[in-house]
Amino acid sequence: MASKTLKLKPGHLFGHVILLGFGLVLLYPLVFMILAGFYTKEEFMGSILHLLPFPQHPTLENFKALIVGSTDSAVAVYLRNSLVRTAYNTFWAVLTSFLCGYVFARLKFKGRDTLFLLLLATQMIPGTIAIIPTYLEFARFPFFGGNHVFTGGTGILDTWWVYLIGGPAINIMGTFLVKQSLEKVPSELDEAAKMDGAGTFRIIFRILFPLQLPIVAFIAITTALGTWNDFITPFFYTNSDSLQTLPSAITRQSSVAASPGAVINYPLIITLSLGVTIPALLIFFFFQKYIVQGLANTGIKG
Amino acid sequence: MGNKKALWTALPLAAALLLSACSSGGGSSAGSGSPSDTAPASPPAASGSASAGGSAQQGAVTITVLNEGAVGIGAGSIDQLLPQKKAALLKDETLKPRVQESDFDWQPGQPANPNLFGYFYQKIISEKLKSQNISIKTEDWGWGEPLIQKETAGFLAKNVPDIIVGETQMPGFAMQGLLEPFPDDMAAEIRDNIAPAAWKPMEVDGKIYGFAAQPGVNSLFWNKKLVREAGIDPDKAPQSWDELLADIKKVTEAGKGKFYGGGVYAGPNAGGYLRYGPLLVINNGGFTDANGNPAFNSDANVKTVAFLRELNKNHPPGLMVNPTEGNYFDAFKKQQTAYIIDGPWRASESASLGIDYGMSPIPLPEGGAPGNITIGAAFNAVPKDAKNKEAAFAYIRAMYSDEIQQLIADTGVRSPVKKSIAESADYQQKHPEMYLHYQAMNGNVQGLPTFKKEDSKVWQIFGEAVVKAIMTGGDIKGILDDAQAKAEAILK
Repeated sequence: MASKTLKLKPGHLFGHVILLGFGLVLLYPLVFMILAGFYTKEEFMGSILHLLPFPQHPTLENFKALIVGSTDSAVAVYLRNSLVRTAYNTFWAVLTSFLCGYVFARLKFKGRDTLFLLLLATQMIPGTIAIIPTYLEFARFPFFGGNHVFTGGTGILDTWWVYLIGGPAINIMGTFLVKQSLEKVPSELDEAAKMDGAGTFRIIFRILFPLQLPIVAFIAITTALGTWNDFITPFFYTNSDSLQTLPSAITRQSSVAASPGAVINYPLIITLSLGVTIPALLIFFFFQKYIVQGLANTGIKG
Repeated sequence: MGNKKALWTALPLAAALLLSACSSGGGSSAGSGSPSDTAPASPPAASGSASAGGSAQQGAVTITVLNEGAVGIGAGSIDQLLPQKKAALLKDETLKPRVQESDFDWQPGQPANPNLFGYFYQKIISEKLKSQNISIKTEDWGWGEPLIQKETAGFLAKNVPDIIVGETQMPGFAMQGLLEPFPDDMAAEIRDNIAPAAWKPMEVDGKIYGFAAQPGVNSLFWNKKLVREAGIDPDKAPQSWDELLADIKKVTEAGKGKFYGGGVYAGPNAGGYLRYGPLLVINNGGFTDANGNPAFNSDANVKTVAFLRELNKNHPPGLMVNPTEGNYFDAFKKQQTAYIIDGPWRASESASLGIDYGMSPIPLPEGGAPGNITIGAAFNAVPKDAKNKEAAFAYIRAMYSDEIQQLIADTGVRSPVKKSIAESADYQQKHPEMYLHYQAMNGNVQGLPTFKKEDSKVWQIFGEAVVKAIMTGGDIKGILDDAQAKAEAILK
């Protein structure tokens, strides 16, 4: 039996080399960050770092601080808060997107199309514009934080309510995607289920939801990534260490550098940055199929 | 039908309530006298009123104070933070020197472990205010740009702590009328007993709006090891600009690309203006004229910028004007540059990194006169919308008390501002370098000016002009003339 030999064309080999080179260049910052995370603050400041910075006195303190906390109890909560916020927002985003999408796709009521257009129009408002009005809204939240009705206290600023109330907003793009997707599903399916005795919620969650898993996955992934990387909400609306998430914690540690005489803890900041970057990379790596599918669906007309 | 009517009635009512909540006249300011759990019994201090100095409140009061890095021990109630901080300090093995239990027995007049400064600072102030029935709660709003943004949002929402803190933004807040002026008796006490660097930058129209317990001014520091390698006496401070430049060049030559002479950070931002600004001042130039208008293109400034251009040749390319100031100081910390002009914390930081450093006042140019710009001055101020103004002023009084100023003296990281402490024979003998620093704080000390309009834009014009003059071979006078014209056009 003749042996099979793999023939690699010179063109392919060249392409592989180029791609490998680019891959190494893109991977290098991550490798640098991981190695830098093993430095102590003093050694990092006192040494001249090489291309691959191997510390002479490595420490696990920065990684311990990221995952399980350290002598500074505030650091312990950053990762926990990020995880809790992300899970909470993702749950509500999926739920509200699907329910709202169902309403606009299946229910007929007066003003439906106008209301949907209004919701879509809000997408044109840059988020930055809403920062101060939202700040005022939280500060004036009735009967919270010492407010007699709307004034006199701090409302829900610097409390978990900022995340609990401010988090689960209606995901407009998700609603749009679900609406588009459900319009392609024949309504006879709903009628058949109704004839079998299924109620509305059973139809939504038992029949329609499983058919829309790719769209739901896309909504979940984009919401999770957005919340994981969100820095504005904890930065503007909270002050306590116990409420900070990883992105705002990095800002806090970095702003120490601006404080006169402070020795900035670069290894800790780099490790916290790893904590923000790696989960996002992993999510994208394992779920990229759904992300690409979802992006493609945004261009499909009903 | 009835339900629909009720719904359509309730909706506009809810909308009206929500809109009124968002109105700016929310009445949350202390001036409106709206009651709160921690409202003081006495009315808020009005401008110019001679309210009693630090009198006790009738009921218990809790004031909210923003953290400042040098004195902060965490966010929350000080009573709860103090024991936690003590435990953390004893446990922290990375501190140099390590904190021992005996360090907590410090008595005024004895050397204090610098790592305990924040602990003792908060303890002393907390005990002083407790006797007036005032307790303290701290919040951490960050520093630098994040702090400025949060404070701005707080002012807009009229939701600010009783004491705010900041550096370069504070004079601007005072000029905008966002801060409460100090009571007249308190202001008089400060003027008579405190070095000008601690309050002068916060004086607007004859009233004082802020106070810094341990401000700094710039000094010249050098790395003795690098200077020695260049064949220069490491214990001798340069006496003039010419001598300084000559020494810097020698170090650069000796370094052969591994280390450089250095000089001063001149980036286009507040960090740069605060550091090379003193060179403008001592060379009889500056940022503004007597009326507060930009004076960028004076002959004196042209000579100073020419000096900066020479210094630039003794840095790694681009370092001196790097937009990120941290990179410049990192180079000194990593012993890649020898000379640096910086605030007094450079001394303790160098010591903690094992750098053998020298320190002296900035040498004068020929025909120059002593002067400086306050740096690292964390000004504490009381916002107009603070809910507990009298208690807040009591806090500020505690900042210039003998106990706090003695603590600053004993720690040796910065110099006290109270004349009775800093000008004592004991202090001069125990802390000769820091006494020089104190003397510099008493001379011609200025803060960075705030321009009448478009302040950040005017500063940007100046900063970029200086960078251009330093980095290029262009005509310095022409570049500064151009910047002056642009600034004047904005301020017309």
